[in-house]
Amino acid sequence: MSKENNIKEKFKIALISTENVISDDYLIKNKKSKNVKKNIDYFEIDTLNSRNEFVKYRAESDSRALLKKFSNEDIFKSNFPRNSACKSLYEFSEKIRCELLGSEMLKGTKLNFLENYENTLSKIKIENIKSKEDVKISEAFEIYILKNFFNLNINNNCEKILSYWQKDLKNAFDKHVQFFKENLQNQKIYNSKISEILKDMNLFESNDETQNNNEDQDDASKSENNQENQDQNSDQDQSSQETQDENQGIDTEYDFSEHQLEENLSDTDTEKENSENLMQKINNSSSDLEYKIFTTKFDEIAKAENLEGFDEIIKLRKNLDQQLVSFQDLITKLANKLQRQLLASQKKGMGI
Amino acid sequence: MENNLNIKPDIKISVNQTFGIDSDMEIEAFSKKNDYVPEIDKNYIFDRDTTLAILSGFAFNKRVLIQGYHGTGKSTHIEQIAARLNWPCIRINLDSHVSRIDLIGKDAITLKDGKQITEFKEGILPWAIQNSIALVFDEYDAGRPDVMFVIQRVLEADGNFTLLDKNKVIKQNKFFRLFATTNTVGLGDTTGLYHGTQQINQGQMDRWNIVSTLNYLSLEKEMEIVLAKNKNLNNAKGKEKIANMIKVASLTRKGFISGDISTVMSPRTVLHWVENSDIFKDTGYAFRITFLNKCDEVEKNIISEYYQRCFGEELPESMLNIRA
Ligand SMILES: Nc1ncnc2c1ncn2[C@@H]1O[C@H](COP(=O)(O)OP(=O)(O)OP(=O)(O)O)[C@@H](O)[C@H]1O
Ligand SMILES: [Mg+2]
Repeated sequence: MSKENNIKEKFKIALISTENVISDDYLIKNKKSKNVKKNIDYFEIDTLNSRNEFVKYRAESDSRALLKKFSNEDIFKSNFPRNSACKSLYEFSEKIRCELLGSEMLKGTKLNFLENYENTLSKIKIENIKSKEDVKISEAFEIYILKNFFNLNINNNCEKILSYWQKDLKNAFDKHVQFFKENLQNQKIYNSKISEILKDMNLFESNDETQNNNEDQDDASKSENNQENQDQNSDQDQSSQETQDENQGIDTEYDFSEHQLEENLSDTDTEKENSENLMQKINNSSSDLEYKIFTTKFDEIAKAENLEGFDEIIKLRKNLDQQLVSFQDLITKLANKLQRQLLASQKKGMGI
Repeated sequence: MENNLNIKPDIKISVNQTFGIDSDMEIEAFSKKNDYVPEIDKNYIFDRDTTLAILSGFAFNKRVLIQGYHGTGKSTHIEQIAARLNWPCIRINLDSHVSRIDLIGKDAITLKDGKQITEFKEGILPWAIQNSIALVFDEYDAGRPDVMFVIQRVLEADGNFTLLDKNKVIKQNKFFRLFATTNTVGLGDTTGLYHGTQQINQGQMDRWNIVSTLNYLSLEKEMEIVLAKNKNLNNAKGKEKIANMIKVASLTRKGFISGDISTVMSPRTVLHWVENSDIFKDTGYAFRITFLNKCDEVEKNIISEYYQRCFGEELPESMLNIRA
């Protein structure tokens, strides 16, 4: 494993664990361990070269964790705005609610969010923006929320973007900011209020966010949606996420993500590739050491069954087991470690 | 080992006054302390349910099994209650090295009138049974099967104990008490967290009169413990720092329960951390020497992330620093 991959994997393991403990997901994990693998396989680390990238992955992972912890899916769904065009705004507001709650609880997550949002906002370009039609409401909405809920200092570019929608957002939200801040804990009140405001805004008749539907977004689960949402935020490649029929989307969400995952797995998990990976790994690790294999010509692999009788093998095995009793602790640790490494390398096969 | 302590409970104390628990129960206790009575920890905080369970063990001669994760205070609860009752208390760690003869006793060669003779030397169990002693088996689920069968015989409150090797029947003292602590509920370990634990025989489980579970303290309670021992931190800044420390501890406990890390911060570790950070005036450094250095490399990265979330600061072990 190259040094870079090594760091990526370690960082990922650390993030997954942090996500689990912040979200209290570890309890669920114990109960239905079948889902564990599916749960933890959902993100990949592409590059990890700058501080900004570390912070980005941290913020995304924290956000997912907090959403799991603080957001009740039923309440979230039941207040879903009728106008499907508001979907991404509604989702973003919920994400922010959870992030704010997390910020109160864990100081470090707050710093991660702030730093990441600052980085994201600083990348926003305005060259191509000439009129209100060039600015998507979702983009302006996010800036507005970050400014007013997270008290983020926003730069001139963002102010400019915001200015196109300033009036609409101000009229709709300004008088409620305090109300939202006071009701962060109460998801029901918060969700329904947002929903109500979005409905009253009647934003979307005039807006040219067109049907940019793609199936994935239709069907992705709530948390995945948020995750995608976030990815896109950070890329500032904010294509619209409108959907025609959000209810249907929500109903089918889980099947889809599982299905997708299995596909991914079966794509790469062919035996051959596996063993190739393994060989590569062996070669890699041995090349690190000073010891070199001169020749493998005379090597021989023999099975225990062919060397000894059955009784003798059983006896030896028992003997070995007995000697190992005192190492039980160590073996457990090693087994845990091995499992982590295997999990990590499994993802390597999935194409990064 | 003195052969006979020859003591009996001679006073009654109020549960309400002594343990701060809302109950009008009065409980028999000893007026005098002896060598086997544990030291009192003045700042110990008693969990209501656990304390009541243990107290009924003392008061009504019930066998009490306390179950819970590592470091939740199972052993110390029993010890601290015994300390306040002046009840002699002995803890035996039932790891896989304790064997049957350690408990019962064995033939040993001794000198008598200049001659070598073999003589049966009683182990700790026969002695404890005959005295007013609270015997605590720690890590009960790690006990070896041969040991468990020995214990089974004394689990019944009126059970007499036969020393086959000596042709002798031992009668239980009226004030002998038996407790045990365990990490699993006797079903062996299904989570993979506790290796080396054994399944406890159902007949054996059945003989425990009371089984009580002790979970980790709430943040507020743990804060109380820390503040009680570090009065200088009883201000806004100090409290924030302690709260963050306890949050780190709480994340490690969850990480431990989910199997991500194999070392866990007990309230004891938190206390050491607070002390060390006072000595070194550096919370991060103190954390590393009190806890982080006990963990293996992969775990260090994980725990550094936990730490960053709670304190908003990077440890040298953080991946972000390793990269640079
Ligand atoms: N309620 C409490 N009040 C004060 N200190 C406590 C309390 N609970 C735990 N502690 C501290 O935590 C430490 C660990 O407690 P203890 O050894 O009793 O845990 P345990 O549950 O027996 O752990 P193990 O499963 O490892 O045996 C003790 O040293 C004690 O100082
Ligand atoms: Mg203990």
